[in-house]
Amino acid sequence: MTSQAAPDASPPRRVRRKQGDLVLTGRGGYLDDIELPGTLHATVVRSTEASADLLEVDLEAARRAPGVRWAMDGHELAEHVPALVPLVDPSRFGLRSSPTPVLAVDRIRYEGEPIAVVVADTLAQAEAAADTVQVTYSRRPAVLDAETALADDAALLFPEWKTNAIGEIPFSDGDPDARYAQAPHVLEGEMSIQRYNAAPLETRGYLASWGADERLTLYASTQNPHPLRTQLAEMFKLPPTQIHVIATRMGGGFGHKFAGFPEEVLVCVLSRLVGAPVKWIETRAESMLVGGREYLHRFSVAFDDQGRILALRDRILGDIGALGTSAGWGMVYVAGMTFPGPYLVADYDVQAVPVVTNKPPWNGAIGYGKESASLVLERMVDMIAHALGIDPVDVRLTNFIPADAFPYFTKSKRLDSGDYAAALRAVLELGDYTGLRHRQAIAQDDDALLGVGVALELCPEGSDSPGVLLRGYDTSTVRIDPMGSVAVLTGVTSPGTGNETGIAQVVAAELGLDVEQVSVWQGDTDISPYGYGNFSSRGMNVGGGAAVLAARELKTKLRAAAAGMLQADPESLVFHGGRIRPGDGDGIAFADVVRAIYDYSIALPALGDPQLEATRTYHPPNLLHIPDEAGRTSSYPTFPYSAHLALVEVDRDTGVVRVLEYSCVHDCGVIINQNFVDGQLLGSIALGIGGALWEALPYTPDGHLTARTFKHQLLPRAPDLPPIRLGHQVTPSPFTVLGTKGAGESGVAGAIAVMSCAVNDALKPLGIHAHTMPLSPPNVLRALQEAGR
Amino acid sequence: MIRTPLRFHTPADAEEAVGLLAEHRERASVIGGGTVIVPLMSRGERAIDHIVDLTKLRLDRIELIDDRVVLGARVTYRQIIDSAICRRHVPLLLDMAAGITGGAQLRNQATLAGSACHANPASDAPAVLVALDARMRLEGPAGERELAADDFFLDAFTSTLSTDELLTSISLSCGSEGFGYHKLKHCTGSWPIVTAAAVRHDGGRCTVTIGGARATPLHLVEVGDRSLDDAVAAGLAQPWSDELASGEYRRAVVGAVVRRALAAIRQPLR
Repeated sequence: MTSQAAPDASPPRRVRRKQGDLVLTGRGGYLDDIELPGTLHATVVRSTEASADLLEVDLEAARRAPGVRWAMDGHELAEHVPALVPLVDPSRFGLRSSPTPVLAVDRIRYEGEPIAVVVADTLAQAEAAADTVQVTYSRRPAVLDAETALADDAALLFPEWKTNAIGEIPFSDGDPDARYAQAPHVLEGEMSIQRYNAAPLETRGYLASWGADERLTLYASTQNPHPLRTQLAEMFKLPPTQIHVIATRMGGGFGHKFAGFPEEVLVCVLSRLVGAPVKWIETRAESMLVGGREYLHRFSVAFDDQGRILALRDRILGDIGALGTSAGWGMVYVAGMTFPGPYLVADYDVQAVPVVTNKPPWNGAIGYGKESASLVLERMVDMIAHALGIDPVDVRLTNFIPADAFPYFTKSKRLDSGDYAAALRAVLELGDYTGLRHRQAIAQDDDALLGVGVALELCPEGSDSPGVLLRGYDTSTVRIDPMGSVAVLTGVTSPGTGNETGIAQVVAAELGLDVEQVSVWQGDTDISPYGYGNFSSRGMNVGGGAAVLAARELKTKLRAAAAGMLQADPESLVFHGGRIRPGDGDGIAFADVVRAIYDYSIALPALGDPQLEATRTYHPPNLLHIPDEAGRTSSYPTFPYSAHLALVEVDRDTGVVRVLEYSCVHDCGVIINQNFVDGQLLGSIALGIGGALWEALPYTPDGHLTARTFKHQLLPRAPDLPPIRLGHQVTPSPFTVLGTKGAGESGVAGAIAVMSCAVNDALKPLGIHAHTMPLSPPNVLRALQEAGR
Repeated sequence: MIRTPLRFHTPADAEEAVGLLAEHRERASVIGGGTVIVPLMSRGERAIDHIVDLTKLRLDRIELIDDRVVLGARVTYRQIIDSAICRRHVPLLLDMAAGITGGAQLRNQATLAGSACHANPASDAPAVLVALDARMRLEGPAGERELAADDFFLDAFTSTLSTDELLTSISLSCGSEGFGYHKLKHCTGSWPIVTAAAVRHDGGRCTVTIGGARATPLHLVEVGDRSLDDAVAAGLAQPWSDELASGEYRRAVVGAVVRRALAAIRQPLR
């Protein structure tokens, strides 16, 4: 299927954000700004042990503390609700899984595991009471990294599994063994990536309230209001219509707010018991318990004298922490699936192994595993260049999937469209690659270590996984009221990116209206069609795509009615400037046609039937879940990509890395609003640089997290980032309604990879590499010390 | 969230303030800008019932008295940055204040004396105070006492200040012929990892005070290239470790930080 006819007028590309002034001036309102009358406040008592038997939870003092309305442990809670309903259950993929209680009952598997909950009149009272809870543990051995967890004698988190691996997920094609046997060159390497997470400015939060009619209302800072409603309906054994989930304006999601957390259920249970609204807001320290991204890669690559990759292997251990009930573990799957990235490699063997350990569970973290694959692939390519003494750019150009090969099928994805070489060449031009190499050479004379990095990131988007609560399709309704204004109700939500403005733009463009005439309604399960919220940069593709299809349905109807009113040929009519016009004629106002249908349809048969509401469910067609005759599948429909170029300086005495120059050329297919695409891309690059250089959630050998504040987990601030030059290249998706591929996530992986490539380029003259992430001063200095400086 | 009900006191004079501290001891705290104590209370890491605010004691002036710059305990980093006296007589302090992380909000609120009392090894103030030969004036039940900054900092997060004492002012020497300050940190949001404040005195003699490398500032006199490494090694038998960097890392970089501070020495603007 190819994209359908373009709307009569191209959408304006720099429309300002709807309600942007409210957000910018702090008047937008977030979850914690909602205070229902009589709201009580909950706090969670968490395990201080990483691995233990839970012997006793003494809540006596807490129950007597001032203001406390209820305090309960896991035993009491289990009388009200069963185990958590997973959002993305590994068992649906044939992998190991186990039920997770809302509050721990007898076994503690990580520091921070919820043990009890206290609700009081004020948060201060709840926290003071929680401090009095006495917990008795009997310590058990803990496993704190994936490799140790896979040792024969490792303590098991779930003894019934007989291993700590959720499974081994293969992504292989061709005959790598044969290629390796004949390859002129083989290189091996190992890279480790630290545990860190997404750090939304607004942490998670939930506010539950039961009406007199026994109907539950849950305000939630969540990415997936409808799936959350499904989970709650299953747990409370209620029809979903008895539950109203309202996803409030979100101050960042990044995967951190995928549904499937114990606190979502706790506030609902407590609110019902105490008969008052109950709120819980995640503290910053609690948000740092949620992990992500900790991988160990052991890889090799076989190549010829020209630098052409003949085959590659990678075994990826993902340390996913204890088993979670959200979507975190899936990042290991995607890390494997992303191979071999933008490169034409027919023979490869990649094994992705999610491993449970005694750390808190992962949730999603922007990049979602793709950043891990990108990092390793880009380093592989640089290592080839280094070994052969050729330019890393040339090795990439040699190995890219050529522009005329699309759509290009690999074993686990069908790449939609692209021109990787053109993007790379464009970024070299934008960032003056030759000039950067020159600066590097001059600096070498002064004994300074400058490094130039290039990287190309492939970013699969729009994930669809049959069998789980999170699907890739979505639904939008377009409704026109008698005054001619348009409401779009959609199942996709905005994590704060502004996709509501983009959706309004494409619907307005279809109907020839101003963006102001289109409102978008999201996140309210009583209002919006059932949908999956925000993840995988899919808002415009599926929410916007569905809305456009629905708008087109209404447009056909309006065209016929207008043709009747104007006595014109329907095919000659264009929708533009709020009017429906025959060719160069003045035509009739859009609102007048709508009003005529409301007021005179049926009476005047030429106006057609009065239905001015259409709903469409849309999934991008580029998905293949049942393997084809060649055993190929594709669980992602679109594949944005970006090329990155950076110059860094490494301080040889201290290991400090400074980013001096940064350029990026990005291709997300058709751009609906460049303001948003640029904003997302700049944010993603900042996230990538931060994760490559500083961010970390380290654990002590006995399983205690050492980062509790942003003074421990270091995020980049403005002075840490250079001015970032952006360029865009547009190769429309031949599959999606709008030709879009998705923007939001892409850029993170490329930024991480290009930092690693640039730093290692700087270290190259010393004959060393730094493959332990992050490239923080201590880690870089350790590498420098190995070189004897 | 602050768990304890708080009583906010605004004593009229030092005697009353000391009386409050003596009465409530570890359940009371003097508050300066609150940029340390309030987050500690919010995270439940420090529980107190009584806040002693020194607004009525004034203590917010920067003065030149007998060749020393005297800063009241409530002087903020912003006041230091804006002070002509500091600019002229203790430019090292001004340099340090301008580099405090946290932006305008923090510099407008946080106080130098508050940072000294917190005595975080990974902070700018302790070593710079030692470098400037600071004298700390304390008020307690027995009256006033004054001691050198070097004697004030006892250990990580520990000063000689007892629970019934308050720091009222800090006076600094302004006789230097030149100074250089270098702060190593991971990135903008990072605590200082290692700092070095180099001061050149009459006759060209240099001292260097190292911060962040061990629990308390390391003050080195008569530094030359050869003696430096030995002195550093001797002084850093037990280097400081925290969430951001190990003692091993600090020891490895301290030489470079000191050399950079010495290389940065320049004449004060007079």
